[in-house]
Amino acid sequence: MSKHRLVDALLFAALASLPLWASGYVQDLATKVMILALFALSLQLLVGVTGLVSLGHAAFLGIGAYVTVLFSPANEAGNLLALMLASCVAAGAYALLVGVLSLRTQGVYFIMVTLAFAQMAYFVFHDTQLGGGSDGIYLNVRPALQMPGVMLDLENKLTLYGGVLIVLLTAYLGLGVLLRSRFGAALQGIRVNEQRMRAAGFNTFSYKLAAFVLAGALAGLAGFLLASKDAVVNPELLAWHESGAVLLMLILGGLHSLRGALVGATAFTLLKELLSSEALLGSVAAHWQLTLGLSVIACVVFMPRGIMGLSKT
Amino acid sequence: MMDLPTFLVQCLNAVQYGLLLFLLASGLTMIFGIMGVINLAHGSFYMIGAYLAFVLTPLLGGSYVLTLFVGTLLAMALGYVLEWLFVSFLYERDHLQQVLMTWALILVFEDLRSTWVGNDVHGVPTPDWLAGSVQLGSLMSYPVYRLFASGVCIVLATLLYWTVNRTRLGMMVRAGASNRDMVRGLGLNIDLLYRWVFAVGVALAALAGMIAAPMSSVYPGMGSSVLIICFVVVVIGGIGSITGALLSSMLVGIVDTFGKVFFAQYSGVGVYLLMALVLIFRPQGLVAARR
Amino acid sequence: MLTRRFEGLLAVNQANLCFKRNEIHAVIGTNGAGKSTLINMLSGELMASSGSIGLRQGEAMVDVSAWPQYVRARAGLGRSYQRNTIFPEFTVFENIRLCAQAVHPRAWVWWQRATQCPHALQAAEQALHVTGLVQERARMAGTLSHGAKRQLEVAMCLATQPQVLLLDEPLAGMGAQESERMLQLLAALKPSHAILLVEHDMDAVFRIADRISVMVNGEVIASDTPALIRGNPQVRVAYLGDWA
Repeated sequence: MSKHRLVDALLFAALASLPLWASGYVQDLATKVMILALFALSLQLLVGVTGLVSLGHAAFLGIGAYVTVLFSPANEAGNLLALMLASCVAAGAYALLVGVLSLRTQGVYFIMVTLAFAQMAYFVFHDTQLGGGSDGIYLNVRPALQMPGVMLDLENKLTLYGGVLIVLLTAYLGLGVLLRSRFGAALQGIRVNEQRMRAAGFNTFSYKLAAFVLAGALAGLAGFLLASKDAVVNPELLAWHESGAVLLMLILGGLHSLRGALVGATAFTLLKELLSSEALLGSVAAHWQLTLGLSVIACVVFMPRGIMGLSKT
Repeated sequence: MMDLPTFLVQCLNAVQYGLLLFLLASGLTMIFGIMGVINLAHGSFYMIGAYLAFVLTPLLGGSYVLTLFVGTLLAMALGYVLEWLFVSFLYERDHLQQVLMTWALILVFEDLRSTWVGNDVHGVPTPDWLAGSVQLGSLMSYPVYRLFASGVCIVLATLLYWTVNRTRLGMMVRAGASNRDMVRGLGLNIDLLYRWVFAVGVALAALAGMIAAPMSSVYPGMGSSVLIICFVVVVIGGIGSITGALLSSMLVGIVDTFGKVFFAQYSGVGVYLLMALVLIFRPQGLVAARR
Repeated sequence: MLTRRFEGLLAVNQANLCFKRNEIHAVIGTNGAGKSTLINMLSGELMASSGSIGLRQGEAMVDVSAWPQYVRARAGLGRSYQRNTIFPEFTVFENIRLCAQAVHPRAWVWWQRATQCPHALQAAEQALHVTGLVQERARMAGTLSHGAKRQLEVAMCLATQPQVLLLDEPLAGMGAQESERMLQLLAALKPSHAILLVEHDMDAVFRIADRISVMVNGEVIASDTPALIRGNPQVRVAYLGDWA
């Protein structure tokens, strides 16, 4: 285990120092990867830890992002802390609603129901004027926070990068602690055999609901960061292609550890960048859907335990 | 409130939409209920059907019946080959892997369609002998084609129900659903059976797409949007139950059609609210089947 | 007087049974007699179509018929399964510790390590000792021999310190030596628990049970001491056949 910790520390150091030695493009890409890694972590809590395969997780990311933009003032920076909190709470609230309704179902039903509820959220933002319709909306000024002595302004790319890194690290370590706690142990027991957990006296429904809401809130946090980075939101954030993509990140990286979520998010994002890069692949880049689809199939067939699983052999 | 003729027209529209959904949902629920495979690419088959109608119509001299016939055969062949090469791999896998593999399949289909036929929106002409409207009673007229569509769906639904519930073939299929190895042990070629079941499921979806084509347009996103509604129908109706699929297709048809009339902007949400309601009171679906 | 209907099939018809502390009450019957249904109703996995279930809590007899399974489990109703429901990817000790955690007073404290909370650890150690699995504590549960897995199954049941044990065929698939160990375990557990034993192994049942109830087609046709059951003509005809 301490070998893994060493690797963690090295990677963190590398990421922390990245702005010093990397180009603007790479820094931007790294920010995107880290935000998606947070998103993947939140889903790993559901899929890898508790065994709940949700195909509608993008809804919570989207809600977090939309709340950030909708509650930001039109022409000045919104309060960073307030917006971050609002995103988490809004996403968590929707997760509570969806969870209560869908966690009474099992297996395939659950997958379908989570997908349907995500689609419902997609419709709200796509078809109604609540969120500017299918075009989305722009965030004119990114959030900021005036603290005694220092101004944290997300318009500053370096501040944004640092902020995302710290949030990711905190979430990663925090989830690690959670997993080793009684709550985490119970979630894993539920994944292996929910019936036995019930027979022992666990109220498995409330454990699952708690995990679902926490995962939703974390995804909302990722949404806040995404909106702050891109300064634009559109309904496609909630599309089920995104839900499928994040699920893929997990199976790519490996379902059996938190690290798997991070590895998977990185690998997937880089893979997609690669496959759609005209500079590298010329005209094949236009067919990124085909190449991505075939890659996914290959991954599922040849690496059922993901990249992290390869190192265990 | 609306006047009687409009109300009746909307009722017929609801029934027609519901029947079309049923065609799709029954394929999906059959494939899941019998073979245990959750197939996200089901919507793609609908899209493929519609595009087939678009491509085949000029090739076959505009004969609608011929187009339907050839298209269905092609779809069945596609389903057959797909099961053999790809889906059979999924039987022993967990749901997550099935989800991802079939999701990847959607991407592949999208790209192939994009490459071979393009991303434009197309229309498919209504055949002459089905064009126009017919007088229904003294109150209103209704498009002939929609009646035809409903009729075809009813015929297919009846055929499906009869085959699955009343024939020996259907019995084998249902037996295979509960215990694949046992059935194989009895000497029946379960692999071949599953292949045909899948092929029929694909054909039904494609046929739905072909029938729908003259009514709505043929566009790239049609697979995705119909798939989710399909899932909702299956969840409400109960997985594995064809009766449930019929019941919920009708419900969804009604909610969606009248929703569009009364709540134009928010109509998309109506179906999900229905699903939420059903989940509160009957999480296993309206007609709970065995699986 | 428990009854359970399944779409027209009367799986259990007006079964009236009583389980006491310091008594092993065995329920026997042919396949399909309704034993599994009975045990599922008692544990809470199935709701009875009619009738009630009472569980003694302190001095009072509480009607637990409407309680979901996990509430009954916390109230002192433990259950083991016919098919192993152990957690194969955890160690033996962790299997038991996790079950013991269910009755922990403050489950929501998320910053404390699970492996360090004293309550669960103590209960787990106890269950480990009683079932004789101390040697195997660090092994992956999935790698245990079948007999040891069945012992673990019982240990997990004991982890929550229940008063009533519902044991569904604990001897299933066991060889002679392993069965002997299990029977000794059951005898050791008897003084402090009320035990319901569903079993097919007739030798074991007649040896260890204080009371035997016989179920045929969903009905309890006899409920008596082993000697009387052995001599009961109805039972002989319906179930024991050439045995006895």
